[in-house]
Amino acid sequence: MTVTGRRTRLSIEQLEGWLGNVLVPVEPSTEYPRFLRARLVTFRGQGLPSAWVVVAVLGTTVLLAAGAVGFALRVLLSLFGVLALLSRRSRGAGMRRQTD
Amino acid sequence: MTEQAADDLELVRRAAVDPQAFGTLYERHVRRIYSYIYYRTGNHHDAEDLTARVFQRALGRVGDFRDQGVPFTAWLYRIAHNLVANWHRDQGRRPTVPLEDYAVSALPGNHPEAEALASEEQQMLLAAVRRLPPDRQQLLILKFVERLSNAEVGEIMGRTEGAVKSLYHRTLTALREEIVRVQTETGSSTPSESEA
Repeated sequence: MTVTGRRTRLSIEQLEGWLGNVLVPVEPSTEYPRFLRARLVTFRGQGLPSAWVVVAVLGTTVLLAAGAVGFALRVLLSLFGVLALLSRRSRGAGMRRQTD
Repeated sequence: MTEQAADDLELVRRAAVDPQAFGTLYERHVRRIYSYIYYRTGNHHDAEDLTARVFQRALGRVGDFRDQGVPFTAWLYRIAHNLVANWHRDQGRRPTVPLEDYAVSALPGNHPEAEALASEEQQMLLAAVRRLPPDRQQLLILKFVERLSNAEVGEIMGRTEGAVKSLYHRTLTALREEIVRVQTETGSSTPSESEA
């Protein structure tokens, strides 16, 4: 198959024959179909999460974090309240002893 | 409807709840979808990426598939066609085909010069095919790579058999003109001319 440089008009039949020789099925690498099957069938196609999944996960995380911070603040406030109560009681008992 | 198409429909019905049914469908069609995408993109990396996306989308929507006389294969090809179109739009370019990606076949003996010329000719033909409009590329791939009939191509492309036949002849004529134009510019010839 050498190029002669002589140029004639290519017929449709010749073009079909040429396409038939060049356009042949192409196989993927041997690992690829197995890898993709595992991803699709075993893991049910869990590729990159879609945008709404990312938004939902981020929203839930923020809500949980806010809830946790709120709970921690309530515990701290309760502790301060108890401490204040104890301090006032001990101060009241001291004053009563001085009066007596 | 062929026996496999009917069997595909039964598998599609089960695939929404049974992963193994989808696995069987996947095994049947992955190679032809890969081959199709490979010729549309011109490289293995993007072909693998897009093939994965085709089957992920198919898996996500297999429950919505309704038997309207269009085979499951046609449905897959349409997904592939749309994804490839999006890919081309995102790329904003026509990809070049790596020379080493195409095996030079049916050459008598080891003649490096002949192999190089044959490869060059293949490149020229493939480049000319890629300059055709997307629907014409699709038609040629389905006809020559998948060896589908006009009726089968019509099911995939959503056209009548007559329309496919007409488009096929217009495509070959356009491709021949494109090849002649390239030959005029580069001063090369085709294999058929060389063999004459």
